[in-house]
Amino acid sequence: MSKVRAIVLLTLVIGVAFGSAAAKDTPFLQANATADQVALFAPFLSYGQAAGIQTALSVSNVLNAPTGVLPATGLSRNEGSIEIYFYTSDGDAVVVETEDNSIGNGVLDAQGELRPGRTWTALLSQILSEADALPAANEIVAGYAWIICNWDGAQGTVTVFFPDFGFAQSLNLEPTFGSGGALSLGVPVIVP
Amino acid sequence: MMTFILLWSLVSLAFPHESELKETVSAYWNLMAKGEKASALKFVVESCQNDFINRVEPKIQTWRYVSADSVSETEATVTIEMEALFRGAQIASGFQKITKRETWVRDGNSWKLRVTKPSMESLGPLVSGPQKAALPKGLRVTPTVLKIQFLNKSQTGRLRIENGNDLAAQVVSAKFDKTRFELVKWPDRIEPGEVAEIVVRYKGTENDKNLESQLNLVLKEGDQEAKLFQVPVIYNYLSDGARGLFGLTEEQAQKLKRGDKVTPVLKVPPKSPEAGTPPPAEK
Repeated sequence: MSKVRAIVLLTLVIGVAFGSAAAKDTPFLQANATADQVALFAPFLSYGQAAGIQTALSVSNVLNAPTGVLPATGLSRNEGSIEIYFYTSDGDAVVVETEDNSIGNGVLDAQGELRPGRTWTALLSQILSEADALPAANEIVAGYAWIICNWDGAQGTVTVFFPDFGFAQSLNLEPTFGSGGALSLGVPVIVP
Repeated sequence: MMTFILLWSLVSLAFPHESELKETVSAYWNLMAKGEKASALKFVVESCQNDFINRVEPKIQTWRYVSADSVSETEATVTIEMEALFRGAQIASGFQKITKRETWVRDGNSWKLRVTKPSMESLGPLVSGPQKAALPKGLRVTPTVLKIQFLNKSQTGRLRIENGNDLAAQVVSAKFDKTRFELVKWPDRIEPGEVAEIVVRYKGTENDKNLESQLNLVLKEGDQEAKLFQVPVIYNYLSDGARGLFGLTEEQAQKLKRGDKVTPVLKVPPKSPEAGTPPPAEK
């Protein structure tokens, strides 16, 4: 009987040790706590009505994951709003935060929050329109964006379409998920 | 018996010239599968031939006719299934099985393919999802708090009035601090099932962040009693996310002036030595 107890105790100790080691390897855990927000970087976005250029943005809340992928402890916020900080080529900022379900593909809740497992898609024209920053019909706006996701782990893509040229290019939002190594689910945003 | 046969033939042939359409589609896709695009050109509507020539084609391995749905007597949507290799796709993913729908139109005495050039309009539904569901019953104002972002040049915020009722609604009045705000957009009438926008602009010069005000909207539907909606307004809004992105303490955020340059201060956390290390190779 005492051998059985010892085996059970040893199993528990090994389980706890391995569990904490796995949690430390997860980059979106920082300083023994999560940041509540993560940031993703979109290297290039563009929109021009007359030129026929459009950009589609997708942001996923990847906190619905198979057992074992995410740490068992330390996650503090599993859904939230999305904030876009789009910097145009002349350095102007266009800021939009989802506050209801009016922008994009209708998957946000009434408070503009994205739940785990869901993917929000929106066109750059919708984002610019929300901030009253649409360029004139014959102008083209281009730039990069930071996307703050107000939950613990996010991923996404940005796709720029040039339909008149039959061309589109899709880029992962940075940091990308990675393969074979540690997960990368956004840069933690620590609020001072 | 004769009536049954007649009815059966009417049901099985959903629209005129369907069998002819199937033959034409087959002839077209057999040529496309062999890579004989020039020969397939004769099956394309003349006004679309240039777009057809410029269209990038995949390498087709197999194809299969699935169905034809009549749009009108002279137009049908034809669905085929193909296994093909697409340009830009990962080579390791091999031949992909996809379903393709195309529009065929009656041109004189024959069926011709209408090639649709990609357009901005066609991208909308692709990335913005299906039409949103019907509005919930009643009048609703969203979002619950009107935020006007400090960093935006336009200094505007938007409210949406959703009319899920059967009667048109109207904004009877809007009360707000006129020394600080002005209405840029204002709906006269909100039709049933429609959403109308109110756009409010902050015209002040204050620099303090996350200041509070209120907008009182009185909405009325038909002969019913007017209803008051009190919407809190946060102007010069700078979120915690923005403070985190630019590394601003609350005090620094308060001092931030319009036009000040702010720079992201994000740091990618260091990976632990074990992270990303592949297991040692077996000897």
